[in-house]
Amino acid sequence: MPTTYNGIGTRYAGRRNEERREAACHSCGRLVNLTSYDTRLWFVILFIPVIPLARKRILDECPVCRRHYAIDAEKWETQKQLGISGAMDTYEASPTPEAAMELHQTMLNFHQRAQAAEFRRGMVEKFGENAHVRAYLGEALTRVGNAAEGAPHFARALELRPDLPEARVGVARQHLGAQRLDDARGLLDFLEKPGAEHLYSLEPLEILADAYRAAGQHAPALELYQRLLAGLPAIGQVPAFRKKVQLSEKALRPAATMLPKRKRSLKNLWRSAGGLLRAAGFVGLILLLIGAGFIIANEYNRRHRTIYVINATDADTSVIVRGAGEDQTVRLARMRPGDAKPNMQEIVLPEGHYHVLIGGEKTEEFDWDVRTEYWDRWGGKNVWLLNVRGAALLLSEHVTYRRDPPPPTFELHFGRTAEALSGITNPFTVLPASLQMKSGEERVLTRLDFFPGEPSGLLGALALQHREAEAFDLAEWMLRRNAADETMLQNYVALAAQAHQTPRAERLLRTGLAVRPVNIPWHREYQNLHMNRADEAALAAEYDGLLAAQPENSALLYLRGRIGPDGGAFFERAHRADPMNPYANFALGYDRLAMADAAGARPLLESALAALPESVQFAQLLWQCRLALGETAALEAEARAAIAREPLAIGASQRLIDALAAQGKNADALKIAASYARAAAQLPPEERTQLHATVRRHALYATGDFAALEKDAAPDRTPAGRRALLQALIEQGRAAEAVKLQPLTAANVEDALHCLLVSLALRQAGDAATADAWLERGVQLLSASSKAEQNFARILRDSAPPNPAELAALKTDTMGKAIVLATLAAQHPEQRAELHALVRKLPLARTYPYHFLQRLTAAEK
Amino acid sequence: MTREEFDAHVRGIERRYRGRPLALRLRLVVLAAVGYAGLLAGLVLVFALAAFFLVPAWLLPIADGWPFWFLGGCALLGGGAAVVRALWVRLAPPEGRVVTRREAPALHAALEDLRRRLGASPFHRVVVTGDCNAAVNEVPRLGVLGWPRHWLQLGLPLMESLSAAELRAVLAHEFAHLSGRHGRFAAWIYRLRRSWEQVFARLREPYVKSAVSLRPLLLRFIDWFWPRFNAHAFVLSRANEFEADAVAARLAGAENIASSLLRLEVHGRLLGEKFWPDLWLEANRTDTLPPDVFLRLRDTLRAPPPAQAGVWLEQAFRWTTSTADTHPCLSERLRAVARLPAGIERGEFPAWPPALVPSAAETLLGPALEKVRAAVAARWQKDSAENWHARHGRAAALHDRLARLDTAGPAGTDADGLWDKAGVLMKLEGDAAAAPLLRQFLALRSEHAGANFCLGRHLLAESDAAGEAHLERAIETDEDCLPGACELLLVHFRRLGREDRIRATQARLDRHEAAVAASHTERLNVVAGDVFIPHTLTAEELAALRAVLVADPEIAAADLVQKQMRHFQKQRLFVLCLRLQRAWYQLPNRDREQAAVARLLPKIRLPGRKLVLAPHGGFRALASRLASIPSARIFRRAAAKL
Repeated sequence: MPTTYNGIGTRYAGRRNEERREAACHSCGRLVNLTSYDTRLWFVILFIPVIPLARKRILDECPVCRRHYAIDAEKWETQKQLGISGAMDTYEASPTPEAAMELHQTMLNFHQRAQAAEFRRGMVEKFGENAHVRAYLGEALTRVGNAAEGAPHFARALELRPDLPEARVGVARQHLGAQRLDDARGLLDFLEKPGAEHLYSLEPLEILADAYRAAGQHAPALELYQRLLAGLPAIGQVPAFRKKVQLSEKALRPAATMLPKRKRSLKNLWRSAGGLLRAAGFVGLILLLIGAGFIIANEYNRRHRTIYVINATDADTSVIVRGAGEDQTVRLARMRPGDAKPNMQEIVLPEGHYHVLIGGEKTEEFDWDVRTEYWDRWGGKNVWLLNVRGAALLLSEHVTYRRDPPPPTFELHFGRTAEALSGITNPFTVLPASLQMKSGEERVLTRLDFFPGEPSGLLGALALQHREAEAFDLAEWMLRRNAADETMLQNYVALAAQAHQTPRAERLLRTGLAVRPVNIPWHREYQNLHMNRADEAALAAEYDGLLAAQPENSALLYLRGRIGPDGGAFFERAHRADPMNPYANFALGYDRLAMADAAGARPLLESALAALPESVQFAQLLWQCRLALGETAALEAEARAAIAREPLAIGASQRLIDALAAQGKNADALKIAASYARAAAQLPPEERTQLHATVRRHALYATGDFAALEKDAAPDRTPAGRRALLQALIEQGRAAEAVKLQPLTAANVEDALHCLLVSLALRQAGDAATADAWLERGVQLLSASSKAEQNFARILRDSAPPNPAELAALKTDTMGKAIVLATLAAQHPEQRAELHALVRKLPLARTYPYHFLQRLTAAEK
Repeated sequence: MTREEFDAHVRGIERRYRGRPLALRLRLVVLAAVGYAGLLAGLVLVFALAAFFLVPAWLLPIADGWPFWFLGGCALLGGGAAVVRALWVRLAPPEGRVVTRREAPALHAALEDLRRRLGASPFHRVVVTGDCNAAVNEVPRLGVLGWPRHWLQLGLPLMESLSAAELRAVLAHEFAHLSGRHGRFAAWIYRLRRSWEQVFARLREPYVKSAVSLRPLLLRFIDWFWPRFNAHAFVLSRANEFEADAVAARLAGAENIASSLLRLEVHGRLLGEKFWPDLWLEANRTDTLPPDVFLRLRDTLRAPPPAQAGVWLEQAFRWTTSTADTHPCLSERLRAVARLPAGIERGEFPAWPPALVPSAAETLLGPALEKVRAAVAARWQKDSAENWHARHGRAAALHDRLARLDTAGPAGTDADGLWDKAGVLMKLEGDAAAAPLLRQFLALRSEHAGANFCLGRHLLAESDAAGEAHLERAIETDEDCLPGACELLLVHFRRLGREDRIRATQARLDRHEAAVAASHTERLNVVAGDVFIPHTLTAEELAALRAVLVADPEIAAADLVQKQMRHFQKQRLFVLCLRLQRAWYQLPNRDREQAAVARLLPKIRLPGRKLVLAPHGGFRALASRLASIPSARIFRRAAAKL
């Protein structure tokens, strides 16, 4: 059928050769005037015919439901002419009643009613006394909706052949129409004979029975229904028929019903149900299937739970999970140094109660429920972990996917042997970089995996998110597992200090003091917590006590030497007790360097570094020592080799810059900063910018280009940028401007040496009053620090001129010592030359305030 | 493939492989492989489609791969179900009374002896049925894929008809097909052909009304494959029959196989054409099925020869083998075992075989015979009850109709009344009862196709050659009668041994079947691409047509041609194009043209089908084509303006 959408589509237009007939619509079944006509099919726009598509003959269009047949007009015309002329030819060749009936029927089939009517007149003339022909004409006319014209033909046929079934049925139908039911029944008596159903259709009998029922004559109706049931037993199961019989039986109330027992079957139920019920049944069936699918999926999930068994310990382990079915045994190798990930195996178990046995050096067993709520099984995304000894550090990362996503959040999982996690969408698999989603949609995926980096790095991240408690838990768990993790130890102590949790750190550190062999870094951190005026005496007493138990313990001797200003003797004893003790060698080397004895410090520092090559502190001091000794060419070569191995090593780049600057190769030093920028191009933008700025500023300072440093740092508002700007201003003699960046009243002025330096700079700039204030602040801060620094404070407060020999023997950080000596020189102009000479002798790193001190003491060169 | 093509194909195979049996066997192996491959192709396709989805599903994690699992599962389950449903066919084992070794030790001993001697497969069951034959039924457990179970089916009428020795010969023949006596390959092909024949026949049966199925596709393959395989296997099978007869002759004696073949032939006809029809006529009188049907059958077989005995015997020996027959005809089989009675060529035929007492049933079933007979009769009653009661009910209605016809008017005055009455009598009592009325009716309406057909059918059944003419007349009047009439004629000519007439009738039937569908389209369609020839109207007919055209002043010219018919060439189809007068400045007016066509169409009389058209509109191309045919112009008005 032609259709249009918003006025565009196809449509019939025009109507010719229209014919009508009354008949039941083949689609909706209504008794209507069906129309046939010629028309044209058009392509229409806004219902306006635009393009003619085809000529059509429309057949039997229902005025109600508009359904019809359509055929190409030419094809229809051809078939009509050839069909009728063919039948006509047959009839003319053999003018029998059969041929006449065939021709007439062909004319009616092609809707040639006028032609058929004309031919019918001839038929009646020629075969009017043939009962078959008369009965046919009656039937044909009735079929085309002209029952009135057909009635005389039936009547004549019955006159001619009272036995002719077609004639009897035809006349009976007229009686039915006129409500002469008994007359009709008389004519249809042959249908009531036994076996009639084998020869004739019993439909007229049913129509008659229905007519009796409608007329309230239920007795004859029931007789006829009984006859129908006898001839066609299957009709007894047809709901419509049963309903009719029941209505008549209800009226007459016979002793027993004639209807057979209803066969109960789904098919019958389906057939007897109405359209709505069928639709509901269909929907119900679909829902049932979907429900069954969900239940099966739920049961499948219940029976297939994945348990991840992880071994991050340093021992081979077996894990036995005992419960439903056979025991599941998992053997996992230990995690070796260099392994990227711990060993892991998956086992699939049904939910239930289990007993877990973990073997290895220290066996462990416990009961464990692997279970979820029924409703959580579909979307719960649950994960069960058996983390042997809780040794693996796992991270669950929640990533939000949307147009403007928030930063990912994460949680840490460690220290627990058995754990159940929910909402894990990607267990041990990577998250997609992007997802195809609807606009405005938000989706959160959660990945569970092993933490890939150094756990010590996590502390800072946690602190930044104000999750100090987690950071402490992690650090303490890591330190209990590996007390030798120096980086973690330092970060932990630093974090404790920053979060004002020193007592907590002390409690932990105290637990490791009695451990032997002595863990020197552990003790150092412990000591660092007490390196202040109040605690130092007690600390010294504590270590004296330890030494009393082991007087020749090199480590304890070294540690004791760290307390108070007179540690040199202890360091010597420690060295004698164990010449290979790297810390004792380092301490001695440090002292030598503080006394400007770089040549004497070198072998000691070298020995210390050889024993503990991973120590950054040892390496830096040895570098400083060698720089002071003028080994710049060798240092340059070493730094270049280190960069070649690791182009992004920032320390190596800075060392190379220092080595080049020390040789006066300022241009080369700046080139190193540029090449570092190229190497860092592969890094993420933020990290790249930050690292490059660090190296560049270091190069600018080392080469003494402070104007460029100022220009570089000025736009940078970060703490690092402000610091670089301050340094550039101080170095350029613009102390007043520098002080504005960080006034004395600022809360973060806590560095005593910085205060002394600013004081020197201000004094040099002629602002004595402000310089005095900064000096006072510096001295105050020194007084509150360790005993060695208190010593500096005492010297600075002393109005008497200092003893240069005594000052030369001070064993402390060279840069700090240099600043203090320079300050003393400012306080005591009479000894300036001598003190400045001492400063110039000290082996200083080429970092701030190297150039300031060099300029300040330049007269004594 | 038509019958004629099949016959030609079989003859071609016989020629091609004459003296090269190995090549024929090789060809059959290839065809059998093609058959299995074709039947399993659907399954292979389903597996391939499922693998297309399931392999990536297997490789992907379940979270990503589940759509592939779903699609693969759907393909496997849906496709697999569709293919299995298409291939699924269940051959029911023969229904009948199972006879155990304990009940009939003699029968089982005879069977075991034969089986052992021939090295045939053992039987799953031995079943006695109500049919007049013996057969080994292979019921495949896996449908088209085979794995058969062997059921021996023994007809009680056959056992009543033959002696124990004759039955042994018949069984030896059947067993020979299953044994390796004439080669395992031949036996396999024989069994495969029989098995596929049954299975394919079942596949063609509609199983669920309006169901969507892959079966039509499968049937397309079978339509292509089966005639080819069957033709090759046919050549081999026919040879197998002779070999099986030879085996039976060696094991049971040539006399016994010869006499059993003759008995089966004539007793089969006796039962089929006399005993069973007479028995079913009883349904007209009584609604109760006879309980002693197989006792009556035994008595019929032992009764003196019927009146038609001589004719039936002669026809049994004259019967020829056609390509529709897997078994050679009687005379060929008797000749092969050197037991063809002398004088057959001279028209001397043997006597009706004498009645046998005791029969094979009595000898081999012994005391169990009564029980077996009762059981077979009970099954017959059960199987026939519905048809019996229906026939009885129909007979009651027919009697009523007959009575009304008799009361409606005196017979012989109304031709239609006669035809109706004859129809009722034929339904009620058979063609013979209606023959006088049919003759009476044909005296009034000699051209009536139905009456000629029915009378011809009756006469041929009575071996009266006059029936041929009636059937020919029926075909002449109504070509739709041709298939049925030709089938009757074929049987008639085969009984007479008229091979020339058989071939001609088969060819006629094939031609008709091929032409019917095509001619329907040909007769009801005319397009510009058809072949047109000059009209074949006589001068008078043409003059009459011109007179009609002249009488209408609007007609300026007319073209007439005749469509060349490829089928039913006697029929004529005329195409007439009417061209109207119009001034040089006027455009063609389609409405005017259509009105002229409608006006003249009833007046134009042509001896055949006709299509009258105008040169514009939908028939433009056809009209142009007519104008290009030089002899088409039959009328042009003087000084006409086109």
